[in-house]
Amino acid sequence: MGREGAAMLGIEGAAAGFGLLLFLLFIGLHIATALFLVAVLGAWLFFGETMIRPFGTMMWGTLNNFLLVAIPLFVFMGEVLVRGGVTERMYRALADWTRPLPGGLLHTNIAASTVFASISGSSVATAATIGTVAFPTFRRQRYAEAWVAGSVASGATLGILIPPSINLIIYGAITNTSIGALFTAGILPGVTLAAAFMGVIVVASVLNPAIAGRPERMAPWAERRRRLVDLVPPLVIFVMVMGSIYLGLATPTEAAGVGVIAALVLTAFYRTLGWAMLREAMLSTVTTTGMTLLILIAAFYLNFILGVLGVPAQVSGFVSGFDVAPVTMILLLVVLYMVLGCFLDALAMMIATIPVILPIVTLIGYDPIWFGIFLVLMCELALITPPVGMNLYVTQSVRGRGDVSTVIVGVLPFCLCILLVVALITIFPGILI
Amino acid sequence: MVPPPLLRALERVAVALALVAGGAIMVLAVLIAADIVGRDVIGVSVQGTDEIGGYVLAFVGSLGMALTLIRRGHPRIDLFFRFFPGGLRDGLNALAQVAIAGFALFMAWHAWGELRTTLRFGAVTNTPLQTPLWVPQGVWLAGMAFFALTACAVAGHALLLLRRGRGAVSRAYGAPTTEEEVGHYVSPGEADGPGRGGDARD
Repeated sequence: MGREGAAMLGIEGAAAGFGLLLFLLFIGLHIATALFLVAVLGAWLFFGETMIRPFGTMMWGTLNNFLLVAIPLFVFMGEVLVRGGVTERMYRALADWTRPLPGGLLHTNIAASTVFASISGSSVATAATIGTVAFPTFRRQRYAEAWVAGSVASGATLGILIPPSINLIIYGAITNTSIGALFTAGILPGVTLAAAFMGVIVVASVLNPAIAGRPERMAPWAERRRRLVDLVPPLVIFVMVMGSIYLGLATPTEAAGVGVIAALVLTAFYRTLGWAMLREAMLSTVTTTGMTLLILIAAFYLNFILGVLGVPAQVSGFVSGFDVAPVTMILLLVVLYMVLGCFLDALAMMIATIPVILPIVTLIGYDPIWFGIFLVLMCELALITPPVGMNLYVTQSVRGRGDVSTVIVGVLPFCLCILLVVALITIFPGILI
Repeated sequence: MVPPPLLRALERVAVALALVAGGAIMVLAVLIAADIVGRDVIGVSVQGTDEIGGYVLAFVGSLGMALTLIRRGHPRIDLFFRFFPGGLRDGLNALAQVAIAGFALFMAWHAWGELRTTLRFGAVTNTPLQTPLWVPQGVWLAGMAFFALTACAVAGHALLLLRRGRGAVSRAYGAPTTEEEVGHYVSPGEADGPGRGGDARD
């Protein structure tokens, strides 16, 4: 498309459009409105009425998309489990086992976030719940606050990489990539990243044991073993959801539906399922879905307009003219996303760049599944880089004292881990597919 | 600052509708589970859960937009914005509400156009359920119209506040503070009180 007629937008035009988008975002318009205005302006300038008319059909197509039905289902599943106290139980069960490692309880933040990520697709929920349990415990034992805050904020970013992941569902829907394949591809880098986070903690605590404070006495063996039971339900839910996707028994959306039922049964068993909690979970799910879909409607329309304007083809043509090595190109993209991630919300960054960057990445020989994982890793980095990293502020808010700069210092070593995993998947892209 | 009665009424309606939407999600989950058990265990497939799922999403999404707007949940980037002088910030906060109201009206108008086409051709889905398409699209249009109505009410309120004096709009419609976003995870049960979160804070 797009090559017929005069309606071709040059590379300068595309850059101007991106500049306009940033301008509209920075004067504080809602992200969805900004995406929509750029799209509608492009459509109107180059095609007039003709390309504005399909908006209604596209909007219905976005909202009526069975792939995206997985979003409210997974969000609801996570909400029910968080509000049903499953996270606290998990945290306590893990705490007893990570204590002997150098760095002690700091590992619990990472381990609990990893397990929690496997039943939730949101990093704000992860940071808020883990942080609420973690900070009081750590204060008693005089851990270095920067490390506690850093491990909470960074560990929580695993939520969008380890399946189920809302970001991967959105990526799959926009790029027509199999969500099951994306979920499967997210597991190994997710676990590697968690291991790298723990590795950094071990190294730092060996070099400077003071960061791990004065550990309390461990719980007796019998109690530790008894608490292990609390890890079973999240693992069962994860195996059920991912197993049915992996074995082809269910689509991701169907697996999410089963996950909802499992979450309800589990919280009923814990006797935490109640009307007040269910009401909160529902309201939260509905608002998260409304927020996400509004952005997606605008994003799908913008992608459509960019496509008919031939922007993706133009940009990849422009880039191929430079003849840079693939690895150099990826390095440039890492820098680009690090810069964008400082200023943009992670989801907005992902949605706004996919249509233009994906063709470049496939041109240099990486496949769309690889790019999905790469992009989510860059989103994780964006979530913890100042000044707009969401997780920094969520963690700071839960911490409730001092200043956000402690959290920012705390996440620095963990940022390096994310870059390390990006380097690994770039050098060995084969491990993802 | 207490929101005007119209906005409070809209929020109550939005919450009620959101609970219906939440119920629809649970029903959908049950249908899906029944479908999988039927298909993979018993060997009988309940047809059409994917189609119903799509309608539930349209329902949940369009209704959710209004509640999200009232609770200031639609994301904005306030990085530079916070450093703007007060008067400019007030103006831009009002502008954001007016712009999203324009977007909402545009969507409602095009949703109506879509439904009109469906009605003209009497379209029925090409699936085992043979759903008359006007039913789910009618619900969808209602959700979109509700969002447009809410967005216009919010934009009107923002413009009124703009005339009331320095800072009034920004207090009511500035980007939410992190405490507000975290709040409903930390103290469940307090996040859904009437009135919009954060009016007394920031």
